[in-house]
Amino acid sequence: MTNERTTPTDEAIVRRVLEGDTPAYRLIVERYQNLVYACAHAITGNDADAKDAAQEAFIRLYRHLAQVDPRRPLKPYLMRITVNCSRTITAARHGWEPLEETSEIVPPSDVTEPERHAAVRELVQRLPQTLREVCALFYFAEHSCREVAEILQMNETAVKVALHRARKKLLNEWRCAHE
Amino acid sequence: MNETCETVQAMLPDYRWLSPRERAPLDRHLASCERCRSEWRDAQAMDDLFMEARRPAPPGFADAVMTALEPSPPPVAVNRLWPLLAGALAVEVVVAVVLRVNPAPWWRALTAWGGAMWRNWCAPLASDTMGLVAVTKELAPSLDAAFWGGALAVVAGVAWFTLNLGRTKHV
Repeated sequence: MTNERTTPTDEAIVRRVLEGDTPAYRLIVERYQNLVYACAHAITGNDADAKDAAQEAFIRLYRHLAQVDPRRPLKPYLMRITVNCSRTITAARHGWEPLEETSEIVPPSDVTEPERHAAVRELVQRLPQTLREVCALFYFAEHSCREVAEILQMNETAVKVALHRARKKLLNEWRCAHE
Repeated sequence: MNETCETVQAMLPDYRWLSPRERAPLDRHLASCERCRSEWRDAQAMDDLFMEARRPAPPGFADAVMTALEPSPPPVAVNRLWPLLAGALAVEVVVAVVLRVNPAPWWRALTAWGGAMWRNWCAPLASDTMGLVAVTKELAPSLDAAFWGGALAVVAGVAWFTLNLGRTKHV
C-alpha cells in the first residue's frame, strides 16, 4: 500500500485527473517527459521543435484524457501522440532541409561525450523518416518491436527489418567517421 | 545461413527485452556462431550508442506543460452507459411504433410466436403467483411489440458497447 501511495500507477493518476485533480497530471508529465522529449527530438532533429512537439503531445493527451481507457497502458498512446505531433511540426517547419549525405560527422575519438551524443543524434537525422521514427521509439522511448509496430501501425517484421537497416546504415556511417 | 541463424537474427532486435530464460538459447547459439555474434555485437554497439545519446527534457519542462494546461478546461470522465441506455430506449420506442403501425410479415410471425410464449408460459405463471391473468391478457398484444422492440434495442446496444469497450480514440 505504501509503495502504491508513493508511486501511483498511470491508471490511478488518470482517474484522479478525471475526478478534477488537475495537478496530479504533473506526475504523468514528470514520468514520461524524458522519453517523450527524446523521441520528439529524434524525429524533429532540434531542441526547439522537440520542445514544442513534446509539450503539444502532453497537452493533447490531457485534453483527450476522458477518451483514454485507463485500463490500457498509457505510454504507447502517449508515444503515438508524440509521433503525430513531431510529424506535424516537422512537416510545417519553414526552411527545413534534410542534412546532406556528405555533411561531416565529428570523429568520436576526438570529441567530448556531449559532442559524441550530438553526433549520434545527427546520424539519426540522416535516416529516412520511417526508420527515424522506428529508432526513436525503439531506442529513445524504450519500446519493444511489437510495441513500435502497434504505435506506428506497422507489421512487426517490417519494424525489425527497418531496425536492421537503420543499424547497418548508422553503424557504417559511425565507423566511417571513427576510422 | 541456416534456419537457426535466421531465427536468432529475427530475435536479436528484441534481445534486451528478453527474459534470461528466453535469452538462454540465443546465448548458446551466439557462443557457437561467429556470424550471428557479429550481428549481435553490432546491435549491442548501436544500443549503447543510442542509450547514452538520448536527449533529456530541458529543465522546467514539466512546469511549462502545466502552465500551458491552465487555459484548458479539465477533462471530464465520459460515462458511456447513460447515452447507451438512452439510445437503446429511443431505438426501442421507434421500432415498437413503426412495427405496430405497419407490421411486416416477419414481424407478425415473430410477435405471434412471442405472444404465444407470453400467453402459454409467462401469463399463467403470473396469474398463478399474483392473480393478474386478466391484466396480462389485456396487455399481451402491446407487450409483444414492446418486448421485441426492446430485445432488438438491447442486442444492438450490447453489440455496440462490446465493440467500443476499451477502444481508445487516437488523437
